[in-house]
Amino acid sequence: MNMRMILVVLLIGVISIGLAGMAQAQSATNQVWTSSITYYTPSDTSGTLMISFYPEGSGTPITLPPITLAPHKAGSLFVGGVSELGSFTRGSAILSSDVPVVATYVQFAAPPETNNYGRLIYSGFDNGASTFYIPTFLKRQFGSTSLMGIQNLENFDAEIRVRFYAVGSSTPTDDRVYIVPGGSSIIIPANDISRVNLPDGFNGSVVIQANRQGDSSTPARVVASAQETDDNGRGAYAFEGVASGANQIYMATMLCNAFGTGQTSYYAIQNISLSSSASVRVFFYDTSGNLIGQTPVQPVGPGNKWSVNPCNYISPGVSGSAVISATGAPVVAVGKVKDNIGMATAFVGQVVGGTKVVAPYIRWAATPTSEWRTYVAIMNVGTGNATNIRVLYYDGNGTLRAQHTVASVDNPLPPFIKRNTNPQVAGALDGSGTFGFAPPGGAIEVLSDQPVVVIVRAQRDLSPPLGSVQRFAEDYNGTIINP
Amino acid sequence: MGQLSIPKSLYELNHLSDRWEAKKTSHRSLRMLLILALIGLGGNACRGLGSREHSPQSLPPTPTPGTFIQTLPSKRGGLRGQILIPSGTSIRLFVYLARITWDSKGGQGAYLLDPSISPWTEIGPDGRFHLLTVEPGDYIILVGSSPEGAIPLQVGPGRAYIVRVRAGEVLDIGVWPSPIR
Repeated sequence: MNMRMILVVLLIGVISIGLAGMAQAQSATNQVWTSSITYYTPSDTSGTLMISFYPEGSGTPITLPPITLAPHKAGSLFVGGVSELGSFTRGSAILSSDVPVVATYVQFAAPPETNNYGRLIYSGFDNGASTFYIPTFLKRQFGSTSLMGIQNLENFDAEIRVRFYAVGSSTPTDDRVYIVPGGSSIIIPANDISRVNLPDGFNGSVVIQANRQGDSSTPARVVASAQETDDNGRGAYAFEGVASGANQIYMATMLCNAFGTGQTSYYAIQNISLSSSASVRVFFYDTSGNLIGQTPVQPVGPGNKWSVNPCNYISPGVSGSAVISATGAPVVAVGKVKDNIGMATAFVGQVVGGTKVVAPYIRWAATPTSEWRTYVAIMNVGTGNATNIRVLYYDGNGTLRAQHTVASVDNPLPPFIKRNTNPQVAGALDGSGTFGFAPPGGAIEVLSDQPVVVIVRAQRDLSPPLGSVQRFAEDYNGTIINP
Repeated sequence: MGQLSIPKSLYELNHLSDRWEAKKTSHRSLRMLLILALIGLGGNACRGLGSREHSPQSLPPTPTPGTFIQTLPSKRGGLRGQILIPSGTSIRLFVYLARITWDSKGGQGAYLLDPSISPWTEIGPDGRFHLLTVEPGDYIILVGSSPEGAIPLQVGPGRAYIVRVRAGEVLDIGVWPSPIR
């Protein structure tokens, strides 16, 4: 059987009720989170999904019973660790299957707070690298605190060196080596001084390098993810670490005071070279195909980051896309979106597009407040007009529910421009006006004649509001399927 | 009626097995119960067979005569109990079982709830639930209106209530306060 590895870092993987921290009002940082894995197989044939769960600090996996995958099936799994004494435990998981599978990891506040906080969503990995980058890491800065998870993908123990660089400094604020057993993971909360010693107000980025324990010449493959949570609010979002940089990064979401709620995207751009400076510039596009603004060239020092607010360079009220261009050194980027009604999201800038991109977590509630809705942004990153972009909507049974033509010969999508789709405009809703709930699970395949990148926005409006918070939202990246 | 403590863990469950035997219904007992139920119609033939009290305000479940008039498929087990649903709760609530897989040493485990294959049932208006075709094994019990928002029954903060379902047996977990408030 040809098993393909799909890797998902479970950042927390804890269900816990009744902890003292639960009583602390409106602190996503102190909230207890639980999680689900949302998956989809784009395969036309059925297959088998295997899940190996690694308790934190353990290199011995627990292999869960196999799951049969119907063709194009979309579903959700709830996985976690538990001790013989009943205590819920942290860990990591590796999904493997004999057919292609993509997965997102969805974290939500543990009950009974599930509907009182935003959700964190990030995509699973299908490979690792010995070097990983986290473009932004905070400790009680901008009202948020970060937490990072690193998983060792090898079957041997790894020395994982993690360097934390403050903005403007080429010397790490902290420089640690963690020993992580094969297959296992380590969780590094920014506010846990037993794991990392950062000052309050830390604002920086992270470089991760791994090798076999005691053998610096043998690299060790790892993956990494990060989350940021409001210290005194309900916002929470997550994003994947990045294994390699590029001289051109594509951001399918660019917002400046958009949609009447002040939605604005902020980009954290990290120079991943530890020796060379990068000269970085960002170009902003609207949805009509126009370049509407650009930043000056900005020098970014080795290992350092630069934060960009599009509103400093374009007129307000715009929704579009952006391209980050760098010379001198490769860069990586994370985009965050915030507004004035409480939403906070994050996504990763992408260095390459694909002609087949999959998003495994697609939902549409009957009303904006009853459950979650997803909106999809598709950006052409090719060299010519896209004249054939189709979005296929599959439900939890693997049934094709709708096909939405997003670009055609008569309605082409120019390079660097984005266009949108959702289950409603695609005609994928059932008789109850929903998608992805009955049967549980929903996904899309984006098929294009030009490489595209995809970002999915999941959001839910609150009625009544929770104080000043009227909306929860989160973004995640679509996953490229190589033919 | 005396109040029994809730088993704190699988370890304790194992060591309490003697006590629990009296509260489980084996295949043989099922047949006996069938007879008792038939004889006891109009009475309460099942009283004392599996009820336990978990909180001072909770009432022991009163199994409906005939509850056990079912033959469990071979190699399957069952689970029943009662969740005390707060008055005024209008949403439908369900019980979900998340199967635990233990590591080779038995000290660490991982649970999996796959809504498409995991056992689940809707909780009745009186709070009772019955699951009668459960694959034998160890489970976490979750209660909620959907798998995503379900809350595990716990014996303490951050500590799951773990049950072991055996082939041919129906395990009665007794009465639990609803974790959904």
